[in-house]
Amino acid sequence: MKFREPPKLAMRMLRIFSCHPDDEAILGDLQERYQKRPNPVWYWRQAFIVIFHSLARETWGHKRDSARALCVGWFALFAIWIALEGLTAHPLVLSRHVCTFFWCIAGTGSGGLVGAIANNRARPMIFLYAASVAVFLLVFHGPTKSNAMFYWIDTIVLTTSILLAALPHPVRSVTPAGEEL
Amino acid sequence: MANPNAISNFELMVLLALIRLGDEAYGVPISEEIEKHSGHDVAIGSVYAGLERLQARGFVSSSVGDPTPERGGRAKKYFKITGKGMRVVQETQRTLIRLWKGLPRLEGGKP
Repeated sequence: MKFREPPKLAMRMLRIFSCHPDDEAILGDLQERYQKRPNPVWYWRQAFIVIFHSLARETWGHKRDSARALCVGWFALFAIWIALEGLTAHPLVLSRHVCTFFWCIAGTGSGGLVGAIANNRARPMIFLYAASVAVFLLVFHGPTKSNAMFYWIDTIVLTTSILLAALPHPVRSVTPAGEEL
Repeated sequence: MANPNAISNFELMVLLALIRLGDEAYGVPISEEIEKHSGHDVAIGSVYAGLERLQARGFVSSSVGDPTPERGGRAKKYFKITGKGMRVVQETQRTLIRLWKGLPRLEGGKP
């Protein structure tokens, strides 16, 4: 039988974003099923469902850690932003490029802090915090006609820089089913 | 008072699939078995989420199998219903049968 490789990007996303203790078995099951049903759309759908369940398990299952991660993240984001804006209060310094750079620093800094306090659940907590920032910016802080381009650039930069803070943390740092640390 | 052994409809389907499959129960056949009998698409992620809940409550046990080439060299994770899980299925069946009785509108599967 010809071996069919599932979509590489979906597999990579599963490896990065999923933090389920049975990830290897799930990836194997998806690959085995893909040999019978080689449909990339089906694989992508399955990948998103696995990621959603895995993040929901880690965040909804540990509500206190999740609430702490969100509080620390948002507080750090505002604190870093205000500090950086204060440092460059001169009107000539605060250009558009500096502003985007600020978001980058504020995102990485606040995401890093969330990861530092989350112990063995750093990745899911950083993803939760990044999702809350993205939802806030998209739902409650939409673009205006005059700044639409910068709004999208800043939103992408901020969310990506928060997600970058997850990179130093191990992919699988969760406990098996039923175990509580 | 809430029943500590209460399970959802999907969890019941997962347990019944485990009983049907016996020693060959892992993610792929479990999802296929539920799809075959329910007629709906079942996500493997949802099956694992259900199995994890059932395992945490002691209704299911698991063991790691051998890796195979069609799985990219990844091992299978086999699941088995425990005695406690079997009792929950039987209890649920009895409850459903009792509820079913005396409902002429639902006899023969017709609404």
